[in-house]
Amino acid sequence: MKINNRYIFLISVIAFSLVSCSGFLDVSPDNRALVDSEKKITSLLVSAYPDQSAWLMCELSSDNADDNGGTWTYYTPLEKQAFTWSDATEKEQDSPQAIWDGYYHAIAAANQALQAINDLGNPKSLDAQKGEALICRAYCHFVLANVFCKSFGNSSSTDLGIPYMEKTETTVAPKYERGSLSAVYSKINLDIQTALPLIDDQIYTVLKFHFNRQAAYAFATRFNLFYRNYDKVIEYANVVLTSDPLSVLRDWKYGGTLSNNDNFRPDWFIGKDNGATLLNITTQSLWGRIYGPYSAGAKYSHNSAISDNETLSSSGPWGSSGSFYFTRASYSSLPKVVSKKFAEYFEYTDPVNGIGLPHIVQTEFTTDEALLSRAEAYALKKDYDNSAKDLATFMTAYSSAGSQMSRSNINLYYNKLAYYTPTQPTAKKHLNPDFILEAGEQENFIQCILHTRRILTMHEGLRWFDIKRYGIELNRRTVAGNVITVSQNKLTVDDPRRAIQLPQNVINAGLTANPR
Amino acid sequence: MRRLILLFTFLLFGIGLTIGQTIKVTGIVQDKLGESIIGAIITAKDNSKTSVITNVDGKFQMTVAVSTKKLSISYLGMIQQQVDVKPFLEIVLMEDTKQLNEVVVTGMQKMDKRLFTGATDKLDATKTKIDGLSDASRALEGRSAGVTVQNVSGTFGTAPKIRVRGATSIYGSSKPLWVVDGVVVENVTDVSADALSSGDAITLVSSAIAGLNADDIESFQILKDGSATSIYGARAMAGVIVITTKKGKKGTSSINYTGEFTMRLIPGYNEFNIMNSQDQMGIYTEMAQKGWLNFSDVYRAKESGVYGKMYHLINTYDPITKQFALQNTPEARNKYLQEAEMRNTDWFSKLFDTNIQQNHSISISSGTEKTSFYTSLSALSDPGWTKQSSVSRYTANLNVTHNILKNLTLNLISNGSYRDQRAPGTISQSTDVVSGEVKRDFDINPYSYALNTSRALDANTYYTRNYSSFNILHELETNYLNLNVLDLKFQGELKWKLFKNLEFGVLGALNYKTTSQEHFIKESSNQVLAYGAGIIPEDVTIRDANPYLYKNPDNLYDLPISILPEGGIYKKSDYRMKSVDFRSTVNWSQDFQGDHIVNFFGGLETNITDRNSTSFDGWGMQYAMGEIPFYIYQFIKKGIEDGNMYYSLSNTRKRSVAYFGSLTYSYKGKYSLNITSRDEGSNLYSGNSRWLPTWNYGLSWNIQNEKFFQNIKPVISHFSTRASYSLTASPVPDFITNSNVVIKSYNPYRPFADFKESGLQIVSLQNKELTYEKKNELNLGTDLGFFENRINVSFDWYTRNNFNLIGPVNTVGVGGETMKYANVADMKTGGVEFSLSTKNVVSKNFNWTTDFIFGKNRTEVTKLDMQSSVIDLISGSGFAKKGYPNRALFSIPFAGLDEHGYPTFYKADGTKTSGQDAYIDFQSRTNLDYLKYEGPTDPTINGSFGNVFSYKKLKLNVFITYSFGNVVRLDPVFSSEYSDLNSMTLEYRNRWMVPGDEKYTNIPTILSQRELNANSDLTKAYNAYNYSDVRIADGGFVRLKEVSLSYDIPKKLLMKEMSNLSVKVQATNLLLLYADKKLNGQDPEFFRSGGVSTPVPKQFTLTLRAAF
Repeated sequence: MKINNRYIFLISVIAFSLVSCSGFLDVSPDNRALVDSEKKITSLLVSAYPDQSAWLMCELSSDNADDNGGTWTYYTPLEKQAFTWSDATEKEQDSPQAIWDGYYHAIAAANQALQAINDLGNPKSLDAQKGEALICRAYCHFVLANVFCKSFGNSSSTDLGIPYMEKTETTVAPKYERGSLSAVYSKINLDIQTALPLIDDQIYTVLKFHFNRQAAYAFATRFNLFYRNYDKVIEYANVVLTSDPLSVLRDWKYGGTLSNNDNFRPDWFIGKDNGATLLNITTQSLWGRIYGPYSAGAKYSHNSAISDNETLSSSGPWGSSGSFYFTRASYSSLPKVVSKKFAEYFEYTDPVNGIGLPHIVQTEFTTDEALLSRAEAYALKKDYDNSAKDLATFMTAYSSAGSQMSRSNINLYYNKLAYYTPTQPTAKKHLNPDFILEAGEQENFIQCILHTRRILTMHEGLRWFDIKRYGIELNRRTVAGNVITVSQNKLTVDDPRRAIQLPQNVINAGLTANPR
Repeated sequence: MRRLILLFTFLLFGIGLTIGQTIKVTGIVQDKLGESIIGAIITAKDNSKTSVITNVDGKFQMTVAVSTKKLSISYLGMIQQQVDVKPFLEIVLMEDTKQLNEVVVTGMQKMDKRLFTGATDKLDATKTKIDGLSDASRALEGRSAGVTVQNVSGTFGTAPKIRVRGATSIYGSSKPLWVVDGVVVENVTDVSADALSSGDAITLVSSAIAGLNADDIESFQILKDGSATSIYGARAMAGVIVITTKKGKKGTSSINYTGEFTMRLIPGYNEFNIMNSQDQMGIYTEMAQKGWLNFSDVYRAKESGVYGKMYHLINTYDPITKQFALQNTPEARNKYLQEAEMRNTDWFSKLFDTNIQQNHSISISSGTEKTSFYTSLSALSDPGWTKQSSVSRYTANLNVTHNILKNLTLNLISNGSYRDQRAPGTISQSTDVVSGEVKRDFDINPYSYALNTSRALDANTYYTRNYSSFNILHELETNYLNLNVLDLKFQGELKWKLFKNLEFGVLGALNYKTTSQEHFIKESSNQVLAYGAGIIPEDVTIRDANPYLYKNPDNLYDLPISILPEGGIYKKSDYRMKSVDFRSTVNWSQDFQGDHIVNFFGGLETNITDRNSTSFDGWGMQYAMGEIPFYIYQFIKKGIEDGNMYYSLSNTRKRSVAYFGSLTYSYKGKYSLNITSRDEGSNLYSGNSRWLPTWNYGLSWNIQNEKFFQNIKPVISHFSTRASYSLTASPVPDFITNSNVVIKSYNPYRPFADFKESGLQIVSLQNKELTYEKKNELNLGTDLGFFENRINVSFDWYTRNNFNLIGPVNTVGVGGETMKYANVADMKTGGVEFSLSTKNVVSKNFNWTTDFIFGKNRTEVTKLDMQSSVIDLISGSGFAKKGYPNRALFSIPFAGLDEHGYPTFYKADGTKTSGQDAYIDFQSRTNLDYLKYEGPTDPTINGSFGNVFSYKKLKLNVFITYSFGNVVRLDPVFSSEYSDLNSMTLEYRNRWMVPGDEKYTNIPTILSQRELNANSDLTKAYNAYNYSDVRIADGGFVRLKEVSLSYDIPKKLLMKEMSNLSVKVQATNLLLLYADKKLNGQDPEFFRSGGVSTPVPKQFTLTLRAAF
């Protein structure tokens, strides 16, 4: 062989060595899913719904719970922490940590889907998916903001918000700022506005577990109520409620005929044939057993002292609670008073040792709640006739006393009703919103709506948001038998504890804590 | 011709009066086999500037002054020679046997040890081989300072836990890289370090080199520090073990036969502290008094033994004899129980065998000028130490080297092995997160069974387990695993010496491994019967209690049904791995007059590793009915509802590309400098993190070559020092794959079939910063030889900074995950290694050599964002906590027994738990400072002490290994409730019996049924007791690993064709010379985890070797 050939060989070896290998190294290490088609984006959005629950934290922080005294015990320390508005140490299901992780994980899925849609060039054919992703993202942020921030109001431009995630995270621990609450709300608003026209029920196989059009409008209704955009509330609620609201409301009369035992009522409440149920999400939660007819978690619960005077068994413009179709359940052996709307479903991961995950199915939006939101918007716009009309419609579905809910009856009842004190409880609490609420008729209507909402959304955590919105002050009490002891622990109008503290891990990792 | 030269010489000589007279010399340098030596240095004795190097044919040509009388010929690893100047010289250099370890094989190249700056040990396979241990990796125990080999299981195919200089990673496996004949060996599936001791079926294929016949191995080279391993850069953080297999030699031709016959001892109860049946029945009597063994409970109990059987017999009416199988009279019952009391069943003898394991290996080796080859076949046949543990393994090996041209060599290697193995049926172990108990359903491991099962049971009687009849012998017959392993390797390497000093090499290798694991669970096995208990025969109580039955969630009124009404279960798991390696290298070496030696080695390497695994659960296989399955739709329905898939598929792919270069410069053989760099890219990482350059700087100083050294030479014959500083790395642990977002399908939980849908979810967020785990290492070493190397000492000191290790980290979580795994942890490690080898007696007939090896290693986790959970820290092999060694084991601090005899513990706030409040959160990751630190679970000190005596043809080898510095968790034998199946340890004799005993004993009481029912927290308390500081022992031991006597039959007694015949008797693993008394027979190396795990047995091996 001639020397020349040797050099050619030498050079070719070197040249070969320097050939770029990027294609070779771009091979995916496993067969993970690449979200690159319409079908996969639709599938990804299944996980854009949180699988953790804020109900326990919110409900036990609200006035729907009392300390039932000595002999009863809590099920997890979390219940005590929620009830006493102290920082949570637990990290398991229902904890602030679980809420934070669950909701932000859902947001990540929505953002991943949006990125995939963007990568595919934002085609028209993916509008429905884009709509779902945006509305999921908005909803998760909305819940997070309501749990971990103060209520939306006049100080929101300086109040701490939460990071609004619009992109997927690609590095280990990027820095984030909480921003202001008003910034968060305006982003939620923008996402909702963009999403609403895009929502299309055609892409859903299990309609009730996705933001179908009605559910999306119901969310827009609630959001705008909190955002104080009352015209929008009415506009969106009209879509949900149609021209004949009564026809879409829940058939409480039928529900009331079902047994209070087993899962008959819960199965009906979340059921796919139940038109009033707009959106369900399945969450990992112990709330099903803690709120439910079991001794677990009996220390802090909704009890007859609350029920009889303020909620499920309380009187109102409707007269006595005897007219309600969907009767509460109370137990001689337990201090709890329960409205059995949902139940625990246990998923066994290890049947031999009985280990598994407790779940509840949360009905997040209903037609009933949208109707009460509209009533509230009318009342805040001083359109008392329409407000009264909605309240009457609701009460027609909920009880046999619908006709009682007239404008005059409402005024009459709440004018007469004394304001609440911890030892002389009534359904009428002092309202301290940061906007002007006119004494007299406007306040009466709001009192009535809050009273009704509280009954409707019992155990679902929404009461906590209403307490925040209207600056209602809370006292903690211990109710043992007929003896009521009022605790020094009081939630004042501007109490910083209205914003539940961020999870300790999150604070440790560098996000600004809520002031205490 | 010669005359002509002479004439010419004279002519020159004449001219030389004015320009100096010279003489021309030509010649050839060869080794004793007649192979040309390329690059030998020929120097004029009186003038070192006159020097040449032999060419590719071993030839040289030079001109020397007439005054030069002698030439010196030198070559690395050969004895230097001086010859008189002659016009033509034919020189044969002899190997320098005094300095045996002179060549370092890095797997990619061979280097002169004097130029090598790293820490390494070369082990001659024939010296280290332990006959009768079929997995060669186990032979490394105690052979190299700093290399630990923990035999966590001794079952064939399981890998020992091997560490080179301790752990290098917290979550990774810290496994060394295995390189066989220059090619990295990949496992068929990656088994993490923890999983090695799990006893799961997957461990049977965890050894990368189980398919290698130990007789085919020529040598092991263990590369320890960064300088030695840096050529493997980003894969070599945990050290490299290079195996070189045998090759044919030119000019020799031989056939070798090795036969090994191994007998293993059956363990005996005298080694353990297990109660005999009398004591055991005494305990049962107490249990009966405490409400455990009454008729109503035990008759339908999930598991029951002697008492359960008695109640069943009492209730069995024989219509023919018109009698009950056992009369329900106190006399009859007592008689029955007395029989049990006297039974003393020896489960070991029922479940173990002394069958002979045989291994036959035959090899042919031959070579000519052109071609040399080595080929071998081996067959291992092992009927099994325990029931259902037979193994057959066949290997074939062919290694051919052919010189196509004088400068072009082709080496072809093909290697195949097939294994057929049987093991007791097992399913994977799991941890009950609530009670903290590590458990395995349906475990029938013979070793565990013998230790866990009451000796009052009769081996031929069926008792109750999982509500169905159970007999261990029957179960082993009807519930077993079959494993088929095929391992093929094809490899070719072309070496082309393009110029005198320049060699190109191209290597390609394909490795294909496939493992098929079948689990046969036959119709009559307990595991199958469990799926029907309560239905057949019908028993409402059992039906409602049996967790294996299926209850339709769609209808609240449906009764439970069996999802296995017919047939048995057939499970199959297949693993497949294909690995393709391609490497091209260039080697350039130049010797400038012997003063400057420069060597450059560089190249490009690519690797493709594709793995595939599938599993399949065949339901309703009717083994006895023509192997036709029968199944019902509810099986599928249940699977959908539970999220359990009846089959699975997983494909993974690894791609890597690396460029590497290593430059060595040596001045006069005194000072050497080595710089190595490697740039590796992998598809596991993305973006800027994809490529990682690694490097090493090494220096060595061969002091013995200094002039001043010559004076002390008689005493110190050899003295060199080395230093190296390096960066090496390892890929992240296998479960970390999120350099791109990981999205997978899932089925969100929904209560009703109508609500179910499948979706995609983010399993792991993208971490584009994901990168290799890295390590900086400083190594200082010295090698000393005294009295003509009669005493050799080697000492190494190293310190390592392991960084960018994978660990959990807390983030603000707004990306969707608060806890992530990322490159956030650091660890500092370091240690010393010392080896001393002496030739105590060297004489014609009697020789005595001693080897002492010592290694000490410490690790400390210096950065870890998040703590491990309690259960990880207190169980098994412990885990990582900042400020403590890697794999530190902690205990729940025991606070004594309370007045009821319940164990109590100190809590995080310093208070004690009580029987009423034994709340222990095994999953907690916070406030863990109350846990008591016990020590590392990896030994910190280990080594060996070996003596070889030879007298004429007799050779005695006594090899002792030792290991210290670690702690061992005692077997978790305590429980809040026992059945009449359980055996107990002798410790129970000292148990708490009456109030006041708590002052004298730490052994908790046997709970009464009433006590446990009143407080289920006691279950946690008893589990916590197993993980408390009283249940810990020192893991140190001194083991008589090997005693062997071999005899070479004198040649004159052999037939003419035979060149060698030897006989060897060897005892392996004979006894522990020292171990903590608290262990009571528990082997400190072995993890009793059931499944397929067994300890390394005590065994005797007879080996015959013959050569023709």
